[in-house]
Amino acid sequence: MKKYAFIIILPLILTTLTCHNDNWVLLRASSDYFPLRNGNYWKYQYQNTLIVVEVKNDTVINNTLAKIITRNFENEYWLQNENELKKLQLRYVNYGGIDYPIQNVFLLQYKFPFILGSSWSTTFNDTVNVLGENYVIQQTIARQVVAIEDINVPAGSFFQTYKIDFIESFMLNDFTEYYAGSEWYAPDVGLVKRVVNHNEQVLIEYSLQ
Amino acid sequence: MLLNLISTIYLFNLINLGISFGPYLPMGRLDVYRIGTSVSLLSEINRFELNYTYSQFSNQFIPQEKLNIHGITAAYGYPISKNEYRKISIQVGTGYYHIIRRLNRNHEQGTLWGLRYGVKYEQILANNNFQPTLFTLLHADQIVQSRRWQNQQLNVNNYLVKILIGIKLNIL
Repeated sequence: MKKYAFIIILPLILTTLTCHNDNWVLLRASSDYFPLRNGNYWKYQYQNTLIVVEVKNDTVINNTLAKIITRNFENEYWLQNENELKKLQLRYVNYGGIDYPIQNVFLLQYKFPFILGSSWSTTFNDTVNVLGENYVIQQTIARQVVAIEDINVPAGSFFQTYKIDFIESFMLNDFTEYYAGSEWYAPDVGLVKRVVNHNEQVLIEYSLQ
Repeated sequence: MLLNLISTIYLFNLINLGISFGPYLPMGRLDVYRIGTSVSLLSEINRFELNYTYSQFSNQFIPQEKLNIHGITAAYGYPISKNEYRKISIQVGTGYYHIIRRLNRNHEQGTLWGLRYGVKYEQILANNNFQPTLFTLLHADQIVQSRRWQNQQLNVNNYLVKILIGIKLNIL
């Protein structure tokens, strides 16, 4: 009887040890797709320009503890918790050399965890009066996780990236901006590729603490 | 062929059937999940044990995210201490894990092979035909994800540890 048991178990164990488990559901479930730790940076090639994104430090803005992330040395303010990531939308109009704020709000950008098929959106509507003139603002951000892909970029090869399609529109009175494209997020690395209105932004270098 | 072999062994030997419950602890990279619960059915013949375990974990930060694991494992137990009423054995085996990750209406799934290491303590309650036996199991499941990627071998180990308490009976 003991021989039978060995006959069954040993080949199974050997098979397990030698076969490749090429399914990464547990890796995706346990990875951080936004490692926003102070000191982390990512360098991207966008058309012929270099974009440097760096996580600086925490600060209090609008009575909220947010993270300062610089994009080519310009400050952005991000609010991250376990289930979402928001970005401070700051817009001004200028009259006589003075900037008047017309939008100052954290808007949802990402909902966690990423899982194939999940989607989220946020809409912001407001009317602001500045020195007697009305500004009508409409902003919509929508994203959906559409695929899990392996991709190559100058910074290296990344596998099990989540491909996220997005649409973002911003309307200020008669002026309209519209962005559509896709983003690829690699486990424990972050954004590795972004295509916006057919223009490509790819990761060329990164450093994570 | 494997099924035929197992059936033959079952036909000519004593079979124990048992059920057990207990906590299941995700370790290492999986520590974003809370301790789960598991229910396990086992069938054993002498030193050979077949085991089915169902367990569910919730993300500790986002409770809507669930990880369900169905595991079927085969293990061999070697007794290290044994007398008329008690037995302690160490187990080694292998298994097949079907993992479903859910968030609201969306889900991802995969099937993975893994290894099992365990220690089992058995206490025979009565020496009759059914020989009811209480047992405690300490199992560690090692689920390895690996692939050759751009000439590199990538390996990620996931560990799940469970402690089960159950009862089993001789049915043949």
